[in-house]
Amino acid sequence: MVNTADIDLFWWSFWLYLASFILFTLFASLGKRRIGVVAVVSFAIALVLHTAGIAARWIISTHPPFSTMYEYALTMSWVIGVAFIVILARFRRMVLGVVISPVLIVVLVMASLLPKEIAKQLMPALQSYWFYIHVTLAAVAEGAFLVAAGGGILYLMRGGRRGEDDLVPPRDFIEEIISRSIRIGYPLFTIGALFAGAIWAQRAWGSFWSWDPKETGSLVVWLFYTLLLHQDIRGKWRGGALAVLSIIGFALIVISFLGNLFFGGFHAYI
Amino acid sequence: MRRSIISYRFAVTVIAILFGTSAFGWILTELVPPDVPYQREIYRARWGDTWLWLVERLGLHDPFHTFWYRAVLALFFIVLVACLVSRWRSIVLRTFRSEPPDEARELSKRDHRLHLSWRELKWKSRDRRDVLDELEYRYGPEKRLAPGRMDVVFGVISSFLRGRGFRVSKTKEGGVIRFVAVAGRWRYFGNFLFHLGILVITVGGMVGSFWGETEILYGTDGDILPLGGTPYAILVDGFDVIMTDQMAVKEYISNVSIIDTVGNRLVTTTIEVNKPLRFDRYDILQSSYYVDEEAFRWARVRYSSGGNPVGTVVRLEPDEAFSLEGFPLVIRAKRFLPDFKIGPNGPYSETPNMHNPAIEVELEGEGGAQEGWLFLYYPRFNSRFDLPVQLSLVDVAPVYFTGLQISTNPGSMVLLAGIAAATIGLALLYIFNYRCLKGVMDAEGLILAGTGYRWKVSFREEFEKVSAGLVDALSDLGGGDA
Ligand code: HEM
Repeated sequence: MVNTADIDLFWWSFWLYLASFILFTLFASLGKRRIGVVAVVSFAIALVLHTAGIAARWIISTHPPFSTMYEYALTMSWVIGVAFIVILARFRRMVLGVVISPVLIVVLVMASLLPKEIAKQLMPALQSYWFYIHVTLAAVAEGAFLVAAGGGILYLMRGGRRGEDDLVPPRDFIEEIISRSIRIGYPLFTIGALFAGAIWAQRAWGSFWSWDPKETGSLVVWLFYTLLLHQDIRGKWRGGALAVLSIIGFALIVISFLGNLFFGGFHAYI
Repeated sequence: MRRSIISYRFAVTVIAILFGTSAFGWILTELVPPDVPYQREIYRARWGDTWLWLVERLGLHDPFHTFWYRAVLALFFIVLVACLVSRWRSIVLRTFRSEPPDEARELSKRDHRLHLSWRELKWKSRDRRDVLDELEYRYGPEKRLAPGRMDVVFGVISSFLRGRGFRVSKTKEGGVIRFVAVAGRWRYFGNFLFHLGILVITVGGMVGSFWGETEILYGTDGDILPLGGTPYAILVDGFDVIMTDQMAVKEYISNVSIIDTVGNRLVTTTIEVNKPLRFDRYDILQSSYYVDEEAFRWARVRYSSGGNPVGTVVRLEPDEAFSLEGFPLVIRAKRFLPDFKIGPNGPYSETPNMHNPAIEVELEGEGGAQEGWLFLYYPRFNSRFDLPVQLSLVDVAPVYFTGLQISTNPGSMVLLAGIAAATIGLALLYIFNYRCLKGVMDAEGLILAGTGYRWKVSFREEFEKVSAGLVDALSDLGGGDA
């Protein structure tokens, strides 16, 4: 296989994200601000290379790079990266990097295991703008759910310590990040994964819904978050429960992402 | 508010059950159905009779079309209908009307509260006179706010809240003003539209699955395929598979016409994947194609003598004899296989796809006839002929059959309408952040309480800002006209 520029960029960003994760961990354990700043810088450079990688792939393949599982994982992780920078700009808590960067790295490790060949020619079923809407929104939404999972991990790591300490934000603050991420992810997922997906399926295969494993997977993910939101309104399943559930959501997404590798079905390519 | 016929808790339980059964079905999806005889035996050996019986009874090989999954869907549907029917008034009304609190005690339950007593409210100015002093100074020597002055103070509160995006409404009774200020109230309408949309989608889906039909028709050039129960038919004018240089499929294109009973062409168009044709109540989609496993239209074969690599290309139709120029030979293309394989009974086509196209040619000369295979993609496997001529296959035109899926879905418009409603609803839910402040004000003071619908931390911040701003605004009251 020929290594195209985008794949070099992928690896560069991967190693930099990894470095930033290690630095964030050091920052969290030693509490030295300077290490945190270096971690953020390394993360930001990684994100720039990541973005450049996606752009390069777009140019090389001559179509938006959202059509293989690798490209999907690339987009999903990119959303996590952007979300982290946004959260950082808004709340200035570098310690969030300790949990967001490993979530991002998990997605990139999945990406690294997938075939990365560029298909210049998309199979006919994928040549539809509904397909792009579907995949892009679904990836962004899942990225947001994964950020929530990162928050969940941080919440649990924080343990029962009371009050504000310098490094780790208070629990209700983390809870709000989880809750907000889910509420950003949910409408995008509903519209992107389910609605746009159904309309595309209708145009490509003549039926809105076929109970193919990937479809069922996204239905399961959607029902899961629907349940979570409903409980949230009643003030139930908050705090630690919300943290654990956001991590379970992460697991469901990973299973549905990799599901077609062992379930087969229409989504065999993505 | 009227009690709903279905409790919220029950509705959430039903969503949880639907989640559980869907997740269970998701894990099971790929079991091979046991209705194939040998598969049944495999399952019997693996699980034993009882489990096999259970799998068959519960339809575990196809969970989403079983009675139990349908029952859960039906339950979900009923609950959703019941919720909407019993709650829509209160939800939609909340968008347009908000009720001031009945009494001050109602406010004490809220998360965030501000208590102001006119007497205690301090000035920011140095001399720290309290509001009552100031009001007394301005309006006369009463110790409590007189009814006429309450309106002035409320005017300040109300315009302050309106300036921060709240809509304020009040009632006044017996010297007490009760008011409510809401922002982001379209959220409720969004919530309603979203649930309604989900309901409509469910209805559309059910209509489609009960009354929709789907069928795949195959045809090649010139074939006429009946269009379901209509008096029309599809005439296949042509079908092309367009490949890229790397032999990946770029496009399948069917040129078709819709004809009526006397053969008039009503529509002539191309159908491609993702570009279906809608006619009458049918969606006509490019679904698949296959290659005839024996027939072909023509093949182009290059022949040359040893020293001349360029040679000459001839176009051969099936079984047509052609004399090779410069050689005492006649060539004939006898047979075509799109996916050549050798089996116990000789060559056959493994699939109806162009994976390894090959033609069998016969060369006839003075010394008798010789037969051999020429391969389009793998010329190094071409048969060798005991003759001074070299042959290769340049191109072959198979007989393609286009697979057109015709389907009717009477629910599709309903479903799309539901998707539209739910999408708008989600947008409103997302954009509008509902916050509600309620207050009771009398001659003694003011109690203001608030709830944020979504974000605790942000609302807490907002409430603190509103409280501080309100204190400032009230403090300014005495400013100018002293
Ligand atoms: C699959 C079905 C359902 C879905 C997808 C769904 C989705 C939602 C969503 C997204 C919200 C808004 C959450 C937020 O405020 O951010 C919500 C709120 C709500 N849902 Fe559902 N829901 C469903 C079924 C039901 C059912 C069956 C009921 C019947 C009781 C119900 C009652 C409510 C109520 C009362 C609210 C809160 C309204 C409010 O206080 O603003 N939902 N639902």
